[in-house]
Amino acid sequence: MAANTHPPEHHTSTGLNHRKLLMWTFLGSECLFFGTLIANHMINRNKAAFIHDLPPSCILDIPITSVSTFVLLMSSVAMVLGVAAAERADVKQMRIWILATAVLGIIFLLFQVYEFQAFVNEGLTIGTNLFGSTFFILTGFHGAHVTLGVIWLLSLLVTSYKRNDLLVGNPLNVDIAGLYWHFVDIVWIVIFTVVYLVGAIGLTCTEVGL
Amino acid sequence: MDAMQHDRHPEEKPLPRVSVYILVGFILTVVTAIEVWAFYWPIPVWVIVTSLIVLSLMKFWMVVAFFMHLRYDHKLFSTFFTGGLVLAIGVVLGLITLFDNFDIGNPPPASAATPPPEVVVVPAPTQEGAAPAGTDGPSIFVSRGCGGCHVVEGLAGAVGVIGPEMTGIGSRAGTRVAGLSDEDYIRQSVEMPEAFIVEGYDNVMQPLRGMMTDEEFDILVEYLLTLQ
Ligand code: HEC
Repeated sequence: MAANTHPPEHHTSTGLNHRKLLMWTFLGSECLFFGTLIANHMINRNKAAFIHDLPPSCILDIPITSVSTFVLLMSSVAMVLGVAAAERADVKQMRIWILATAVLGIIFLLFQVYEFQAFVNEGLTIGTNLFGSTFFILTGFHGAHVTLGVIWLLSLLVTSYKRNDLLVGNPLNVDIAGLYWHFVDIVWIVIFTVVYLVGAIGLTCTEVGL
Repeated sequence: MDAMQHDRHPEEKPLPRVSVYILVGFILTVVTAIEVWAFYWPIPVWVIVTSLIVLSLMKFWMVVAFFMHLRYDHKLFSTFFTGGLVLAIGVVLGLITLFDNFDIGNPPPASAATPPPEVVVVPAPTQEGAAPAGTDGPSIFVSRGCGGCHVVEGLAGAVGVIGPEMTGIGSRAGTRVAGLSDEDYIRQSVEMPEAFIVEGYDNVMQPLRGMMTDEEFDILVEYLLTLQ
């Protein structure tokens, strides 16, 4: 790699790329963002009227969500392979894996659309009760992050056709998108565990009648 | 692989090989499968919850360390990220402790010391006029099931103790929520009982507004206001 392809930002006082440092700082602040939304849900999920005489967490569909969790996990694997390909300057593989990541991200979003619709049909909307509002705010913001990630990845893909020099000489452009994407995945790891598994565990989800 | 290592700071380790990424992806999948399997396993809830939290922390760390290659990168990146992460964990734990409501399993209604809702004898709402429901306040109060949870002194059928006594609600209602008149408070109590929970009681009252007509609702509210 010729030295003159290095953008000037490589020469920083820390010797580190500052866009990457900025991304990590941003992700640190995102921990606070999602942390409070998760706590908000944990605190309030049981302060809600029952839905069809059942505790609201009974509405969660663990098998379906396990599948969508797996899909997001696979997207993270595809992403890391895309980053590795970008760093080898293997343009073809890079395109394949970035596209695969975006497609898996879209599938995850479709699962979420399906889930939200199912909930609304069951009578749970963002305005129904505290469970609904905290749940939709949390998972909705996560979905928005995935959407942004998909757009970012697709724009990288377009870039690889129009201005490939921006990616081949600078794998960091793919790497930073990857950092964002993996972060969105780890947020889901926490949501899946805390909201879905821990939230629905030990519930008696049969009619109690009133 | 060597082609890209030019990007790295002298203090940074070389990035892992692709095979490492695949292995990590495989382990993450297996751990997720174990989590879902544990969820359905009939062992004590606290055991499952503890293992779920440990396993997901492990997954979290693996993605950050390998996929985000923080383990191989300069320490400064870790510092900036863990700074935010530690603050976030502190905020989450602080909030949960403050509100003391990280309930696992059934929410209070089914597990609280008060009799669970299923044993409450709630008079069936008369919808098809099966029993001639009176149209005065006391009859509506009893026929719509309020009496199954609330006492009104001197009213037969209003004997439940799941909810606060209704005797005197007319004089108390206006003092419950600042800014809500006595009438508005009573209306809200029936339309959205979860909006304000009387101290010492559980949030088990259902929104019952849908069980009666507008007219009946007006009569009921008027009646409750007269209970001094
Ligand atoms: C399953 C039992 C149950 C039934 C049935 C029920 N309630 Fe309640 N109600 C409660 C409980 C428990 C509370 C206290 C917790 C709260 O504020 O939600 C309460 C609170 C109230 C309050 C506020 C009392 C106060 O002191 O501030 C009003 C008013 C009220 N109920 C009216 C009604 C009316 C009218 C009906 C019938 C349409 C009804 N309730 C049916 C359980 C019940």
